[in-house]
Amino acid sequence: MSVSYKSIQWNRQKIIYDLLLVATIALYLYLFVWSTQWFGGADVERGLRAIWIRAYGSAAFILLHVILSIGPLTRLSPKFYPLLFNRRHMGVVMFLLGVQHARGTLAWYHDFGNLDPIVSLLTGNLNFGFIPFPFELLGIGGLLILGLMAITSHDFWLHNLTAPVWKALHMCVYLAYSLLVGHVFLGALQTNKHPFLTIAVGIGLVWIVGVHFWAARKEAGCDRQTFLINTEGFADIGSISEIPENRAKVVTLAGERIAVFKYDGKISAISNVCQHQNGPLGEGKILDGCITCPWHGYQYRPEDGASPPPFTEKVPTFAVRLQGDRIFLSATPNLPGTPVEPAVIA
Amino acid sequence: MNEFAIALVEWLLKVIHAYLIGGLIFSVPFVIFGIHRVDPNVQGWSILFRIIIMPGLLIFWPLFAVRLVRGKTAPTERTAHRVAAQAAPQPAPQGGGS
Repeated sequence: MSVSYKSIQWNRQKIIYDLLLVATIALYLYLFVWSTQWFGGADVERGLRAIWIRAYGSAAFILLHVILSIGPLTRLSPKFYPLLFNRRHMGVVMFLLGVQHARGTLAWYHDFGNLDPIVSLLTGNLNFGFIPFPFELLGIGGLLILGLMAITSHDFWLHNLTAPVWKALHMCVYLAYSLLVGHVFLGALQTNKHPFLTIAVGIGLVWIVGVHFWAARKEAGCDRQTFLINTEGFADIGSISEIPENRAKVVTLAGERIAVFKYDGKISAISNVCQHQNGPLGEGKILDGCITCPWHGYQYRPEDGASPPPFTEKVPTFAVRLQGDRIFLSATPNLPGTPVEPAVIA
Repeated sequence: MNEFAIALVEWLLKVIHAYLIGGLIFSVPFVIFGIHRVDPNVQGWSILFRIIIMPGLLIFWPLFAVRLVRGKTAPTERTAHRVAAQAAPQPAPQGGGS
């Protein structure tokens, strides 16, 4: 939380996460190089450095699929939240693998002439037909976007660019993915005779599109709800019994989702959007008297939407009234951190 | 080889290079002396933290140069609820009922 920044927010879980990540990648690289040498093929004729270029590139591309899958999977099941907790470290590692792939490519294919290797890479093939399309340019575009994401992944950037701008910037990962699919697909068509890589890229694309579509369908159900607002500006959003203890019901009012929490015989409502990365507060629970974001553990008091001192985050609050078992929610948000007395369950 | 394309790419790379050099000239003194003024959450003198944010500063340095000159800090984010709350008359805290 934003009292002061830490260089790297490592704790025991994150260190284990990172060690497992690095060990898995090292194992993958070893198996890739070993199996390519063992089974032979065009790469062996080109030499060990060419195999390493493909090992780094394929590791980065597979890791990108894992990273892109985590978001929608957490929408489908909270069991995947532990993967989300440290996703930024995974993204930085993926970028570094991509850099190694690019460095190897520059040294291996573009460092033997009079031109600067980067100039050679950018001007070596300007035939923009289907084959031989300069697929390297697509890779450079994707890598630049991933680089921009990696260098702005620290919370310093989240705070200074603000969460909505930071999120918009990081949503460019989908543009990077599109460019890299083109890079791998067109590159494979030009350099490999075997269709395996092309088929594998297709399967990965179908998985990414499918899991996002699946999660979007689930999310759309929440946003489609409509509520009638009475003359006092309150909407009947459901009954108390719908909400489990220390959990929330999420409804959409005033253009955004609201998390309506039940706890200690009371009902309170705050904006669903966490100030850190705009995580879904309504999918969290009350821990130690505070609403706790399921993404990174940021906490807010249900009564005023403010983080407990010394932290300074605040989210808008909403007035709540009860009539029997029904919950009536104000459609007008209060300024972030405004105290609102909870509605007491009789 | 396309001579025009080569000349264009070489010129673009020089422009990018100059921009990054400008960023470096601004960022080194900024992370030491000026960063506390635009972001009060930066506390202490961690060198690793400054190294980690340096690549981003080379890209976004004009943003911080403007904030430093104007004496501004990071703006508060704008979401639908925050915008609506600012536009709406703020009622007194309301009591719950049953």
